[in-house]
Amino acid sequence: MVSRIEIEDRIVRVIRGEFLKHAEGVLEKYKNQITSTVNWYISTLPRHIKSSEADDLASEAKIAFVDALKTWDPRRGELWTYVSLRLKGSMQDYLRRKKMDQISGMYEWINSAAYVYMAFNREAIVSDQVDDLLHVDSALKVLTEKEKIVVEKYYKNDKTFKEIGGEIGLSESQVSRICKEATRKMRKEIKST
Amino acid sequence: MGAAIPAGIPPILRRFWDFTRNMAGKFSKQLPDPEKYEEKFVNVVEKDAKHWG
Repeated sequence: MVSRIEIEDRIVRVIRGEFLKHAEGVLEKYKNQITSTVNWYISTLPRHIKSSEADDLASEAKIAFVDALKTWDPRRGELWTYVSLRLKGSMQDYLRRKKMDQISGMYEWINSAAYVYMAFNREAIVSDQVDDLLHVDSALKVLTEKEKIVVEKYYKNDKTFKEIGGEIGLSESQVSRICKEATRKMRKEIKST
Repeated sequence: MGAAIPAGIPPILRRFWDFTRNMAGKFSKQLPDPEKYEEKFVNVVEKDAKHWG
């Protein structure tokens, strides 16, 4: 005996199968919303990522959109509500895979600054990278003491949020929030210099 | 009160007629020409229903 829910699932599956044959049309209909979401997400990223990754992020979002159509179930809510979360997630995943999300991006940046510092001491100066180093230095000045501690432990001592939280008496998520806020402040400071 | 069920619809599908129309409507709304697709989606379910146990 087939249950009601099994039949309803089948109906949704059959319609979705036919619906997916027209995925291009759906993509076309949501083109502007996808573009706005991608542009909004890109606007939150550091300049060096914005310029190099914008096109790839747009493609990534389109792929995620079509993928999301394959699993969307109208019984659980509106398409755009479901898809927009997936778009943002896919762009974040893409940058994470490339180690360029806000936090690891900053880590790469500081690493590169450290390299420049060493190069500076060896008198092998690359002027534009030295500028980066100076900007990072001045950006650190805008942080509160707690933020400095977190940033230093995270980026310099390579500790996890959990370990840092244990040391300074905060939860892992609080440390993560502080680190994100510090990263945001530093980025803003660097942009303004 | 649901829409009238056309003749020729398999009995088992008659019980799910409103649900089918509802889902077909929701999927078709995502496409540029919803009315055309709504009918198309209902038709594929009709065809499939012939194979339901």
